[in-house]
Amino acid sequence: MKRKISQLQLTFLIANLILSSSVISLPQVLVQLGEQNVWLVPIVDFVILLLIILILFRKKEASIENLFSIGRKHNILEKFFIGIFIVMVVFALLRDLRATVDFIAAVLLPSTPLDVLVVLAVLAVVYVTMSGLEVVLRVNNIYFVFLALIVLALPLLLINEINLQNLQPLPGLHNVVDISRGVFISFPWMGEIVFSFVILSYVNPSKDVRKAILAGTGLGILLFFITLTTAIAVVGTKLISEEVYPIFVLIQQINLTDFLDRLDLVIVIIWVPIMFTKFAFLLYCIHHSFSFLRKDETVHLILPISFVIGLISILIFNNNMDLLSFSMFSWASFGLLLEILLFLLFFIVKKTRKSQEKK
Amino acid sequence: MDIGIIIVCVTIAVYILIVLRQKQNQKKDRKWVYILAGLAVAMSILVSFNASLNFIIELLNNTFGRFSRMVVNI
Repeated sequence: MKRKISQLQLTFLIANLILSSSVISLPQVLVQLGEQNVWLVPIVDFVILLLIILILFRKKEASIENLFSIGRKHNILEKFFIGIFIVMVVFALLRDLRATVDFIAAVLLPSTPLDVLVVLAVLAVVYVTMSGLEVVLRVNNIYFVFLALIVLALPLLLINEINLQNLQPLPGLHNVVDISRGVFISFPWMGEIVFSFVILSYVNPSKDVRKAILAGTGLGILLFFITLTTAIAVVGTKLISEEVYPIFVLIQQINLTDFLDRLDLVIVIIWVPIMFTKFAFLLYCIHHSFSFLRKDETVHLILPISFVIGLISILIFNNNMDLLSFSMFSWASFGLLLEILLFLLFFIVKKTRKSQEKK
Repeated sequence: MDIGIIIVCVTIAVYILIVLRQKQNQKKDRKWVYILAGLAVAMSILVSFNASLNFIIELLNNTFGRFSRMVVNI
């Protein structure tokens, strides 16, 4: 079956990949490293990603047709790409699933056992994934618009609480090292746009893929920048570096009137489906890659794969400290290594396909 | 046995029954269904015995994690 996704869907998907999981606890480690100057980090990340996208994609993209599609003959490089891709997606899914479940257990359902939360989350995600890529992206479109509007309105909603002194002293040349360290930690989170590369052949029309990827990257990083800067201005660097969920503390500060003081729950209710959509997409990526290697596609394997991953996310992290250590430090170099390999392989795969087409 | 594990086992059992009743499935597909379903049940048993696969994360934290800490000087 030929799937078709629009450029807007790809844009929102990429923005979701960048924003949804990085707001959980990434700001904590960034502020620990760069204090109030860390708002510059997303801007540097964007410049690096912009260069990578401009190198990888041409203005009128035409060589992505049937790229990583199932059932066709593929060369060894494409298989190698998919092999590394599976490793990266599985670890990203394990990390995000456990982080979300831990957040729900800490904030919303403290007395519910972890395995029940994981199993229920997995069942919800399987239901969406089994409906297909188009459904996943349509659900993402609906919820991401609301989340984007909320994030854009954050500075306005928190205007009473903003203390500009929290952003001072302003960064100078002596802060270059702090900002570089922040970029090293945050780049693998922003570089998760690479997950969208396996579905690029489904984008219709395919010629303006570069525009959609650039728009998605720009939107995702802009929203992360707004969240991070507002958090520093409102909560302050001391509290952010101590809090496990600093952005939750930020949205708890929203207090519009005397009777609208629990908007944090409304925002969490919108953020959780966005996270679930990301899980559904990552699960789709694993299933797609698995089908690519088997040269055959069936939806029957989605349920057991998702259960295996859900249960591994319980077994692999003993506690929240393990997860934080992995997310903040191990992912920085492990994710970066995988991403560099994937960007390089993608470039080579595209080049070889182009030369084969010319022949 | 935890309620979450019971849900996993019941869902996997129902899923296998459904797959068996759908006769259009190929033999190759069924093989993968059994392997993955068996893996899911094995994982659920490990969870019910409070076993741990933490060595994977420990390995990553001791290699990549240590390298990152060295880079950012923490």
